[in-house]
Amino acid sequence: MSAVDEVVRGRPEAAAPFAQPVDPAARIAERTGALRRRGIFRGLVALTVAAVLFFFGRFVVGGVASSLGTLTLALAIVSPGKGYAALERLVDRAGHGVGTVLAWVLLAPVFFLFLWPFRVLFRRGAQDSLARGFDSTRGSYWMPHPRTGDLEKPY
Amino acid sequence: MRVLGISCWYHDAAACIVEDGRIVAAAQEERFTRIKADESFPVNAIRYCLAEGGGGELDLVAFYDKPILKLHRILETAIGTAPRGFPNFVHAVPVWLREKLWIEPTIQEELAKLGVKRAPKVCFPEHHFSHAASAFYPSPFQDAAVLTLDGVGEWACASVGVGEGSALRLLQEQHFPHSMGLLYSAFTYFTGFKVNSGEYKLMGLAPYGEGTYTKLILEKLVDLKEDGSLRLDLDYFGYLDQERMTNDRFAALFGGRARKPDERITKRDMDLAKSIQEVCEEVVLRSARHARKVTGKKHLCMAGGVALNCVANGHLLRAGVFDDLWIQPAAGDAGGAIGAAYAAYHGVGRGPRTADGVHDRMQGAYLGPEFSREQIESLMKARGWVYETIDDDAVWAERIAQAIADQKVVGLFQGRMEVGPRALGNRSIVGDPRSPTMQSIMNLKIKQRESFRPFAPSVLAERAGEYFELDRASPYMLLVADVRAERRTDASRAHNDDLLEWVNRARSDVPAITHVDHSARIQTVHRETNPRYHAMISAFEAKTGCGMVINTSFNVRGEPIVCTPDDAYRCFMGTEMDVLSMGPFVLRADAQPGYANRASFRRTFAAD
Repeated sequence: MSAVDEVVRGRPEAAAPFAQPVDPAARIAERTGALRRRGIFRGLVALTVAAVLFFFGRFVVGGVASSLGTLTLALAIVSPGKGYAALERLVDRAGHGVGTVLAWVLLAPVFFLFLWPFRVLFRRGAQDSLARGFDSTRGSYWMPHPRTGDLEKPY
Repeated sequence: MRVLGISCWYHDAAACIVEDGRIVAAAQEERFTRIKADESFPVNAIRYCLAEGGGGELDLVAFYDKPILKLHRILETAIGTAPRGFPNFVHAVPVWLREKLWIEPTIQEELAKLGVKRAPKVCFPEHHFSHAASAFYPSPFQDAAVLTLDGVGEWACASVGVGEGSALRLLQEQHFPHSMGLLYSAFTYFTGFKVNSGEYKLMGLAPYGEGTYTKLILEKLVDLKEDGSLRLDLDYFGYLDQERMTNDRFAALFGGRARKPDERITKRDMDLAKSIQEVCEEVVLRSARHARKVTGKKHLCMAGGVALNCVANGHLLRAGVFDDLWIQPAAGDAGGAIGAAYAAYHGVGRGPRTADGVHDRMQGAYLGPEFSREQIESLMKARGWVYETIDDDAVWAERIAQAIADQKVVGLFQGRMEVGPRALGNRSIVGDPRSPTMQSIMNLKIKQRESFRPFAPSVLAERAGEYFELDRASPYMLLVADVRAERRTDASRAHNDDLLEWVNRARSDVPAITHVDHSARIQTVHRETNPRYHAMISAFEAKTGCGMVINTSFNVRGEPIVCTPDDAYRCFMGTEMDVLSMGPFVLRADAQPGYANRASFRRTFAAD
């Protein structure tokens, strides 16, 4: 190991954004404000959708949308940090659940109808791209670097 | 020419700025977000690096791997493991569709938010090329062999290359899923530690065990060739088609299921640690011999996660395969940002390179933020912390040295933060290495971690040879060597000894840094690189005759190393540290407001 190069001192201006931690009260106020703005926006969007639905005579769905919109708007105004945050967490969790189910449903055909047949074909042709299994006939597992190294391409 | 290097979205995201061949700044995102091994896009690290560079435009941006090649590997693995690999496929694909395929637009968008006006060209060096570049370009060698070993990049898990001047070529590689890094991680998982962060714990556990499984591993799990290349028997591993590293067959081979993280460490775990460590050392040694043969070079540069295995590095050094060895201190994926920036600077920007054969370009790894006296004092005043100002560095060194000699544990916060996994004196907790109980005290009361974990010494470079069987500098704590024979005491373990009792037994005249096998992970401290730290250890030597201190990173278990004065103070008050030194200011714990209720400062971090 070698000696090290000369150390250059850091610039205080570069550290400045991290020097003063955000005051916890200010952080909470900022978070609450953001939640309130988001909640009001989403509540208004839901109420607008409800109005359109009512206009076209879809009273049941419109009623559901207007109820959700009113609830969202009310929580965002009255209790953004607790009530609206809890509602948002609930919706996020439900969204994540729906996303997971959708991923399984949408990717299953891709996997089983497209990728799996390749696996069956490769197995028939005794090809294994993962090169599983020991090979006693080889003296080395090193392989030449493929020289794809164009630095400017993501492949 | 100014190049920004970025690594992210796997683990340990980081950013680096290289300007005209010199590293201006490098930092890991985890230090700013306080999330250990944070993998998210390193917006804070980039903001800091850009500011350290004084603003201005970028000529190039380099991302540390080729995303499309990586996706190709994931799809090939899905095909190769169908139908059992479906759950892995379902977990991987949405993440790719959501973010990993859109790296270039994400980079451009985030840079625009940070005020970079002109969209720079984005480059994509291969993952192992980034590692190789991080090892060779900042090294002191004009030409050298390069060896990289890690878990996996795109397809490659290991590579051999050669660097000559500003040219770097990879010559050979080994492909996924046959990987020394993944093999080591599989044992990390099986012994109850967290993959991608617990590997160094496994290495620390190894000296407590015996290599009873080494033969079994080499017979059943690994086909290791003479040149260090290997294949794994994947019937024993789960990482291809399950969401775990090892499977039931692996467990049956080693006589029982994997240890759970909160369970007691048994002799089997220690023996497994020792055995896989022996296999790792053999792989590194054989691969290095192969690299020497293929390249004909006298010097070796190393990077990749496996290069952080300092025990294997010490073994390699003693084997004398190469005349000299240089290891990138941020050898893991964080260092990929440094390598990517260098790869783009030399490879695309055609920047020149000079190396004098002596000095490396890592500047002691002190490449992170430095807080000024005014910034620290303003925070302390605002918070009402009680401090004493010591402007004279000699007096400061004397005061800290005295505290350590009085068996106090001292937090050191000064200068630029280190990049990479090691704290090297600027974000460190230090103590007296002569104390036989200090290892246990610092592990349990300060670091709040497993009692078996060894501590490392920071030793005056000019004194290293008096304490250790080491004939060269080790400024980055990446070499392990034995404590000199005349300093050792007999502390061999009786068969039924309790582990903790054995840990606490003195094994040399510097017991707190002497591991059970009489080894130590050494940092040599150089006056030119860190004069303040050097002066403090010198003052300690003048008082006690001992030219070293214990050095461990300034954090608790699961916490990233502290970055800011506020992080340092919270960690200081949340543990049982006695003194905190921040720049010219010295703070005593018992003088602080809230001392009676120290527990309230304690933050909880997920155990690593």
